[in-house]
Amino acid sequence: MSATARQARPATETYVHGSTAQVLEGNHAQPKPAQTRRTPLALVPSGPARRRVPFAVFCFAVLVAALGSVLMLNISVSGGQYEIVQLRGEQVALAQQNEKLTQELENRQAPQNLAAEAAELGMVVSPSVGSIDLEEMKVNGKPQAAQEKDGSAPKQQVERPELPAEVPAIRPEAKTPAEPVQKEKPAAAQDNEPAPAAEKKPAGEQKAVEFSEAELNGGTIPAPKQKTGQ
Amino acid sequence: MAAGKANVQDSQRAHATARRLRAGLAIVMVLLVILGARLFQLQGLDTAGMAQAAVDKRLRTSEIPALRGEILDANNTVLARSVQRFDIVVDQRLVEDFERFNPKTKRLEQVKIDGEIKKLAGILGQDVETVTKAVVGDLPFNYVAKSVTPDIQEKVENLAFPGLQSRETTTRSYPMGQVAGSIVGFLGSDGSPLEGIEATQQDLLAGTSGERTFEIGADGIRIPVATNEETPAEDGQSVRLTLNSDLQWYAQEAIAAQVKEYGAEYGTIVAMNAKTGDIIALADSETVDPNDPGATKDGMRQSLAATRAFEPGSTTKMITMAAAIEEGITTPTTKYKIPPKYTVNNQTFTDALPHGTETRTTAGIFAKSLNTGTVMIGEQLTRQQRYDYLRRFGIGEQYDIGIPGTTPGLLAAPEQWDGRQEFTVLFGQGLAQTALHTAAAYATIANGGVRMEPRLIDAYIDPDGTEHEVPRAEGSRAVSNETADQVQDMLETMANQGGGLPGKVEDYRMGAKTGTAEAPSDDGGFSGYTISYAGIAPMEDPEYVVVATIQRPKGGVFSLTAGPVFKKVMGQVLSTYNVPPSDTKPVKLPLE
Repeated sequence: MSATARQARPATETYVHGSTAQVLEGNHAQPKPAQTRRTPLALVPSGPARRRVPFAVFCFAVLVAALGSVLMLNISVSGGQYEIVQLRGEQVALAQQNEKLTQELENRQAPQNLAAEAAELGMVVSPSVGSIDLEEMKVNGKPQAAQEKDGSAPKQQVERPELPAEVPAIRPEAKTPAEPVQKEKPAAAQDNEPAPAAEKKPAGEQKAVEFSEAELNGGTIPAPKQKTGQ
Repeated sequence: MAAGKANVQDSQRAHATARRLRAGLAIVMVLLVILGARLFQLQGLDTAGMAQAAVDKRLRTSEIPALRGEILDANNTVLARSVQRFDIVVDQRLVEDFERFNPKTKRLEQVKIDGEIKKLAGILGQDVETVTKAVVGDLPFNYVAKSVTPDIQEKVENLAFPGLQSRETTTRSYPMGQVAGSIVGFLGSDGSPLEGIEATQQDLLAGTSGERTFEIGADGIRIPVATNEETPAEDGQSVRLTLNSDLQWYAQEAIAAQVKEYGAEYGTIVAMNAKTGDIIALADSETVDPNDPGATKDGMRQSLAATRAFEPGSTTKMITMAAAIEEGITTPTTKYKIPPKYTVNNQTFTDALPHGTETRTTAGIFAKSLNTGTVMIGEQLTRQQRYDYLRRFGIGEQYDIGIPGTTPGLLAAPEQWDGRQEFTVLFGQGLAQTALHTAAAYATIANGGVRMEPRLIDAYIDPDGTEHEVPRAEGSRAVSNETADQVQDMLETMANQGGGLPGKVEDYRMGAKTGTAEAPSDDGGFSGYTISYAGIAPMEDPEYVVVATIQRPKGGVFSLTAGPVFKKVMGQVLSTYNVPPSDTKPVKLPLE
C-alpha cells in the first residue's frame, strides 16, 4: 500500500479487499466498507533514460560530411574544367602559332626566295669550284675568288612564292564575295606583308594565349565555348 | 433478442464494408494491371519503335576528315602540304545594331553595326563596301571570306560580330611555288586533284576519313553520357620524290633565261642519276604555280620534259654508234672516206656544213656529227637491228614515272619504215621521243650499258613515319660494258674537240653530244629546229646525265646552242653532289 493510502485509512483497520484471504475472527465492530477504493492513478517517473544524443549527432555528422564531400568534388571538377578550357585554348593557340611559323619557314626556304635574299645581301655565284683533297693535302681544280660582278645571280625567271596569305582569298574587285577562291594575294599586299610579318614575329608572341576583353567580359576566366559536333 | 439483431446488423454492415473494400481493391488492381500491361507494351515491346525513333532523332554522324599526305623532295623538303584555314560565314538575318555589356563601364551599351563592319573589313583586309554587301541582307548563309588564316580568324572571333561564324577547312599549300609545280600537280576548286603527283597518287595521299557518332539534344548541346562512337581517321601517306628542289629551281631558272634569250617556244632540262635512274630535276621553261593554276595557259600545266615528244635529231647518233660497235661493224678509230653527199638506195644525205671528201674516223664522224658518215656506218645494220637497239635504249618506251600525260613517243615498227625513214632514224629524224627518253638513253651509256628505269617516286611515308621505299626495277642491258666504254670515249672526244665545246664544264671530264633536229610543224613539213645538248659526267665513273632541249629558237641554228645552259646546270649538279674535279687527262680520240 502506498504512503498516501496509509494516511487515508485509520491504522487500526485490518481488512483486506480483493483477496481470497480468510476473514479473521476478531473485531467485527466495523462493517465492511461499501466499496473498495481504487488507488488513484499517479505518474510514475520513469527510470534513467537511455542515451540517444550521440547517435543523432553521428547521423547529422555523416550527412554534413556527405554533402561537404559532394560539394568539394563539384568544386574541384568545375575548377578542373576551367583549367581544361584554358589549357585547350593554349594548345590551340600554340599549335596555330607553330603552324604559322612553319609555313613562314617553308616560304623562306624556297630556293627562289633564298637566292633573292642572298642577292640582296650582296652574295654572288662562285665562278669556279675546287675541292680539297685531305689525303694528299692539295687543292684540286682551279678555284678563283668570286668577284663583285662575277658569276651573276640568276635573273629570277621563276617567280617567288608569297608568304601564306595574311589577307583572305576573296579579292576586293570580285563582284560578289562568294566567288570561287583565288589563293594568291594581290601583289601590292605582298610587298607590305613580309616586312610587318617579320617584325611581328620576334616581338610580343612569347606568351601562349591571352584572352580578349570581349571574351573575359569583366572577369578573369572566359566562358567555355561550345562548338557544334564536338 | 434486440441485442442479437443489432449484432447481426453490425456484422452485416461489417461484411458490406469489407466487400466494398475488396471490390475497390479489385478495381484498383485491375487498373494497375492494365497500366502495367500498357507500360510493358510501350517500354518493353515498343511495337511502334518509338525509342528507336527518338534515338535516331538525336543521333548525329559527323565525318572526321583525314589529313592529306605531304609531297616531299629527296631531302624531305615539303613541296605540298595541307594547312588549316577558316571560312568566315554569316547569318545575315542576325546582323543589326545590338546591345553589348561593356565590362569597363559595367553597363549595357548600344553598338552600331556600321562601326563593327568597318572593323571587320579592316581585319579581313577588304574594303567596306564588299564586306557590307556580304553581311547585309536576308540570306541565312553567306560567305564573307574564304580560306582565312587562323590569325585572322581569331581576330574575327574576338570581334563578337552578331551572326558571324567561322568554319574550319583545309587548303593545300605549295611553299615552293613554281619549283616542280607541274610535277607536284594541283587541286581543283572542289579539292579534287587535277594534275601531277597529286592526281596519280590520290588514293594514297587522301587517306580514309573517320566517323564520329554522338547524340545531340534539342537545344543543340551534345549529350555527354549518350552514344559516343568514334572511328579515327587514317591520314594519308606522304610521297617522297627523287627530285632535288634546289637543282630543280636552278634548272628552271637557267632554261627559262635561255629560252627568253633565244626567243624560243619552250625549253626543258632533265637531270638524272645514271646509276640509280633517279630523276634529279625535270625542269621546263614555263611551269605552273600550283597555288594559282589558272595563271598558266591550258596545255602548259604539265611537265613538258616528260610529255612533249619531238624529233630528237643528232643525239640519236649515239645509239647508232653504240649499235654499230656492239655488232662489231666498226670501232671508234676505224677510218672512213666521207663524200660531200652520200647516196644509198636512191636516198641522198648531206651534212649541215658542206665539205669536200674527207677522211674521218668513227670518232670524228661522231664529233663532227656527220649525217653522211652515220648513214655509211648505220646502213650496215639491218632494219630490225636498228629498231632493236633503239628499243633497248628506251626509245618508244612508256615511262610511267607517276605523272599523267607521259607518252612513249613515236617509233614505228621497222616494217613500216619507208625508204628514207629507215636511214633517217639513224640520225634521229623520223621518230619522236621526249626529253626524258633522251636522258634515259644517255644514262644507259653512262651506266656501262645497263638501262635503269627512270624513277620519280622514291618512297611512301606513313603518318607514323614508317618509310616504304619503292624498289628499284632491275636494269636491262642494252650494250656490253666494253661498248659502253668506247662510246663514252667518243662522247668525251666530242666534248673536248667537236661541237660539244660550248657546253664543256671546266675542271671536269665529261662527255657530250649536241643535237639539231628539224621540228615538224602541225601542217606537215618542218618549221624551226629543236636544239639539244646531252652530256654525262664525270667521265672517270659517269654518274650524272643532263639533257637540255630548246624548241624552235629564233635565229641562225648554227650559232645557237644549248651548250651554255647545259654547262651551268651540269656544273651545279656536280658541285651539289660534291663530285671532286677531275685530275686525269681527258680521252681524245683521233678525228681523222
